[in-house]
Amino acid sequence: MSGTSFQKKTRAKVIQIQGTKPSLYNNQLLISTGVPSLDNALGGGLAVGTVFLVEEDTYGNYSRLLLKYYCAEAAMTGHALMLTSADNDPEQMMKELPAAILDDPGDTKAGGDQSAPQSDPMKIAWRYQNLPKVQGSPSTVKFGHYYDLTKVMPTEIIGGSDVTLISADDFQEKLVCCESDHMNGRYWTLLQKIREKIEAGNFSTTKQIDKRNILRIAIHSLGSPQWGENAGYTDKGDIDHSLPRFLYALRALLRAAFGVCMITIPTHLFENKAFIHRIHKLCDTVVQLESFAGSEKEKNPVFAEYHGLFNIVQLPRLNSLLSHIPETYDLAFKLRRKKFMIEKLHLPPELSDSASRPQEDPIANMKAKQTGCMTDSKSSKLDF
Amino acid sequence: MSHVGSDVGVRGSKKQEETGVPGEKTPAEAWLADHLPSRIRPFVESEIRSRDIRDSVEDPGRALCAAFLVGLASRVDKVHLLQFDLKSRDLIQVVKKLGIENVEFHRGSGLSDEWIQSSLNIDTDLVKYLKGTGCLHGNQTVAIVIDSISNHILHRPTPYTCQTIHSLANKKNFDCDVKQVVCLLHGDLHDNQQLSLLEHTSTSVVRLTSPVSSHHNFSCSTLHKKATGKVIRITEEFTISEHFTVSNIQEVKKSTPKLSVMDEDNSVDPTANLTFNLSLTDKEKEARSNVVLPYTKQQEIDSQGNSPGEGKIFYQPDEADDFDEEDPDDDLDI
Repeated sequence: MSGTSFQKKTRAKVIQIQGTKPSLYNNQLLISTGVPSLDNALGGGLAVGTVFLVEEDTYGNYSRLLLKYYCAEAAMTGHALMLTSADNDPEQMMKELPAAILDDPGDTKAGGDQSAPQSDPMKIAWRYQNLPKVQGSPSTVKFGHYYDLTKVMPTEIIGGSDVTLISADDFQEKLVCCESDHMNGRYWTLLQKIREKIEAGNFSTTKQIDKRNILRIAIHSLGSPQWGENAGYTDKGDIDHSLPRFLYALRALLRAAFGVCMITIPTHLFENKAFIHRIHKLCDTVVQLESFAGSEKEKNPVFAEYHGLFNIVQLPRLNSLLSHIPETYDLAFKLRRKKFMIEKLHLPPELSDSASRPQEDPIANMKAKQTGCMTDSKSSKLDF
Repeated sequence: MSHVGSDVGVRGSKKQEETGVPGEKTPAEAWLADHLPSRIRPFVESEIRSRDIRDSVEDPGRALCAAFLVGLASRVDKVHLLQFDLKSRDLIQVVKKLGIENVEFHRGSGLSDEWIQSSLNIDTDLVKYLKGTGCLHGNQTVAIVIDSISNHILHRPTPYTCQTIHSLANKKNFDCDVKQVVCLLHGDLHDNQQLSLLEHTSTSVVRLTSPVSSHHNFSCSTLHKKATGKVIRITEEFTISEHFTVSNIQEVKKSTPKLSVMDEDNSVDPTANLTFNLSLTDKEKEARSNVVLPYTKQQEIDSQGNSPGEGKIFYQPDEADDFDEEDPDDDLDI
């Protein structure tokens, strides 16, 4: 058997770096966000060289938590980390990183599931007895870790990795010398620091080195008043282009580097919708957290199981026309001590009609009020 | 005292916008000058770093601000009061009248540097100023009360003021332990965007509203963001007495619970008052569970042999099923 011109297609050589895996879809190199169910929702993880934007919830608690998971994942995988915050003290944030759970919680969960159905046989809907339970996230995790919020990450794990912290004080000193015409001085300083870090740490794609590593950049609450951002406007009331310019430059930097950037932005502070859209477009992956804390939805029985809604705003189209398309866009998150979970939004099995539901809530209204043989008149209870 | 306005947000109204200096006395403010404050401790203090009190012309917050001042004076070693409003003088009178000694006054001007030469005006860097006076030192516990920050916001971009408040509340900036920063803000002088930026910066926001019931003189809606991430929203009515204590605190319930009660009345039990029987007695239920239904047999088979998820195929080949290993498509008529 010879003479054929057929050649087996060999895959492009994938670089082996700790804490990464190639995407199943487009062979991009992926890293974990630190939340396995989030990786799952985004199509495997964050592609190297992209910018991941999290639109903060109103009080910023869950977005800060996501950022901590991302940083903790850097410590666990040995990636280099660059953490910036103007609102919080980055040193303090590093001290509060959650500890990883090294014994896989997925295994114990699966074991529990098998024993559960036998205890309660279904009598009428018996055909459904042996259906697998709905699982929001893959039960076995080889990529990414679960973290225990009740414990702090041991300092020896953090100490072993390459961590750069930039706090608000670093900007104050340099602000005078590099106030630039086209960009807010703080953004400019940060951009310079990222560029220096990429150069100094050999994260650039043009450099040929033996042992590659990934640079994880975490920027907390970018565009908050502490950055001098006046909700997208200049002092005179014109639109301030600093933030879009910063994001544009940042993405250009990352495209040529082995780095991933996760940014949280309090977009609820910006009133200009077009400005927010521009920010979306300048990032690759965009998700939005909508926490129920302090809102009416907290008491709504429809959402009793969840802590907030998780909206996927934009998924990256990398080297292809199509992005990863998740199973559903109706996602919600809930926080347990040992797990932050993003799941399909399930409505509870039954809501009593007497439960108070505000009219303006769209999902609550999905449940049909009274159908079938009943009429609306109150006098007859059953009307055939 | 009569409250005419229905809500806080009469924003951008009134003469104060033009000059940036709070104007004449309203009747309510005049009343308050005589009947000043007291104490209020709605939350655990250690968690709170900065706090906005937001008032309006109709619902002045200086009394509540003074209540905070008096309350803080009893809990920390030193209270620094930074005054930028003309009406701030009332607070001095209150402090003197009550004989409180650990309050230090910093008399400032509500005008900018260009108009007035003063050691403390709205262009002053407050962090530098407080450091410069040398009064923040040692292991003291300190609280800072600013009355008010409205002029700062009117004269400078809002983020600058947010940064100032943030750095005042930041422990790293001072040697001593700053327990709390309280700022008074005239909510009707600013637009929504400025207010939302300030709200984002502070850990709790007390917004004064007009009381609904006649038993109370004050009403406020409080938003408190706990460090744990829990958010508390509460509307309370209270009275500030002559002895400067907040008393008679009562939570104002929203009208939503009423609605749900109404719902319950409307939802009728469909099985009541029928001409036929739809409900079962216990005995009848037991009899129903013993009926052998068409699928019961299948259920028994399932429960006997196979473990869940497994199946078996029983197939008996007949004559037509001459299965040929060599040609599996033998039976097809091609």
